[in-house]
Amino acid sequence: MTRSTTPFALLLALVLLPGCGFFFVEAADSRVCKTVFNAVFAPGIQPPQSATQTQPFDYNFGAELLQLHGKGVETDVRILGITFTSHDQATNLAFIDTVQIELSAVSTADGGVPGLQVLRYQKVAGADPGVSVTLKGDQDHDITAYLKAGALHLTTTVSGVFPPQPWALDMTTCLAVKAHYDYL
Amino acid sequence: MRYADVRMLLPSRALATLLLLGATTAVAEPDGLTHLGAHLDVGIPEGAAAGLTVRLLPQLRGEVGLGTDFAKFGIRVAAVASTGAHFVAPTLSVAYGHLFIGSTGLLVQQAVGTRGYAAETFKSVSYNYVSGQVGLDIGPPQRFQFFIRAGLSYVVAVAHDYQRVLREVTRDPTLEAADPVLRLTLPTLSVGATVYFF
Repeated sequence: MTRSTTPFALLLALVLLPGCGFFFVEAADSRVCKTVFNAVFAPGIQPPQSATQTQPFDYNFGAELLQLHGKGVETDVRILGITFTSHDQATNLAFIDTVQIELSAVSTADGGVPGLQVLRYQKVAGADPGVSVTLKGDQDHDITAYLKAGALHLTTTVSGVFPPQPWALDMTTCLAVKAHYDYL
Repeated sequence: MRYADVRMLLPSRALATLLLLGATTAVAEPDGLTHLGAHLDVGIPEGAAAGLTVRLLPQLRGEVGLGTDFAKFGIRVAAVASTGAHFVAPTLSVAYGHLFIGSTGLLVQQAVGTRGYAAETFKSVSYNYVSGQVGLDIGPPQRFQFFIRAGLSYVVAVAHDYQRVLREVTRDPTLEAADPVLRLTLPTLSVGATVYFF
């Protein structure tokens, strides 16, 4: 699935304000989130047994981000986390054993950047997560390089014993964004 | 010395003369020095400000007042140190100000324009600033002094209601966002006058 938005271009555009004789300017948003609704997953196989499903989705930030190249703007983008919520707000997600989120490799003129696993969830034995599962982000990684292609390509791999009918998630992805520009 | 050379030297000579006056023309009567006054000034990033001035010592005074960037109001406090109550006195000042939530204002509007993402984001903004300045007081210190100050400000601005703006601009109602913070340093300049009453 593809979603096209420009949420961060709005923020990052602030560092390109014309007409200001600043020494530096820095714009930061501690939390920007986007929800992808009703991401449908396939039903489990019968008889019930553990299985794995992989679903890619693109998070398009828009071409405005590309305009930041070559203007001396240092950007820093971290994944705060992703929350999976049962779309019907009723299905218990205890059937999910593990979730992995990987940023897809990006090809660039310099050779590109490799794929990066940024989130991982492992259900605690006996725990009941209820209707939502939260994956906390690995904030050690600046994922700006994955955004410079204009979009964030995420691959979600879910394993567990899935219900016999199709099931759907609302996926909320949260990022922290900072952009810095030195005038001198 | 040619006339042109003399003409080029005039500004520096005038400044040197003023500084010499400041260094040698101390107020003869410290006991008669006024302590309470009012000030009015315009500058960046403060905009315009007016308030009370309290001269605690010949070398130190405090200022408290209200300011505006012509779109919203704020408060400002400052401490001004000088070489003393001289006709011309170099000063060193530190100021803190806060402008309450309001519309863009001339300063920000000049920076972000009136259209586009940045202008939309700054429709509702508040900011704090701290500035350090060096300057000159010029005039008889008992009653009336002009001042000019220049320095550096550190500004922290918050764009309020950003989530609504973001959703409108992107036409994406699924977005959630905290209010972004803009930090910047910029040169400051202010000119004004102080009138002492008591």
